Amino acid sequence: MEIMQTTQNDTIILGLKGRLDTLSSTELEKTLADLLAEKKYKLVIDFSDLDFISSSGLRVLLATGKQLKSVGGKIVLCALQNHVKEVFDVAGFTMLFVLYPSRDEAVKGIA
Amino acid sequence: MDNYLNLQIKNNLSELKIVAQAFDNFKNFHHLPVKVSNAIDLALDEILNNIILYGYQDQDRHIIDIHISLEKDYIILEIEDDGKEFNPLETPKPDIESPMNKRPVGGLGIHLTRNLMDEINYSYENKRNSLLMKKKLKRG
Repeated sequence: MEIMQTTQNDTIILGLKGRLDTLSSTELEKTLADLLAEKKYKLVIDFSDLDFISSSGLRVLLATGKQLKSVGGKIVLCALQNHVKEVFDVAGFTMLFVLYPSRDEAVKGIA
Repeated sequence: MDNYLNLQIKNNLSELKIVAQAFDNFKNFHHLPVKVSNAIDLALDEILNNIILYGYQDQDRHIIDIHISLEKDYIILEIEDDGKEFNPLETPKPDIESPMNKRPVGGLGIHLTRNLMDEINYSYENKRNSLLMKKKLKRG
């Protein structure tokens, strides 16, 4: 998996590319932990190039969501492919995260 | 390429990379619909993760067998291991309804696998766990 990080005002955008699975989820976990340590509390995760997610990826998102909630931060997700969205639905994650169709809408939404 | 894919891996998480790569080639060659390939991909990651992390009570090297076969109407995935007896179909349904602050982290892998596959059968014979999963092939 590749993680492409960009900053827009006080929002950090992470573009994920490839697979978010057992092996690569530790990479995202570390990136997110570093951002939280730097007190970056507004995060957009762009899923447009993410082809696969398993429960290991969901675990990292949920743990981060909980931490951000406790410090008054925000995490929103955008541009999930249909089969990735299906995994969110089955896991009951669609209700946990605000999902936007596009990166632009997500950045506007979190501002 | 054949209509089947047989893999033997060691009980080490790094082996998941080999499995994902081999299945990626298989699904591309056979032009599997994304909903079908995603279900198999997910089952492989979840079930192998569970076996490797929780299946063994010793530090020895073990071999896990993976068989994937493409039939007329189904793709079949069978995973066999010699770890401790564990029937994933008996695990309780996880909490998928609580809000963020009350939602437990983890325990979703088997739930996702059960829901994305069309059929799952478990058996334990000759000290081996076998999980046989089927996904309907709906092409087009």
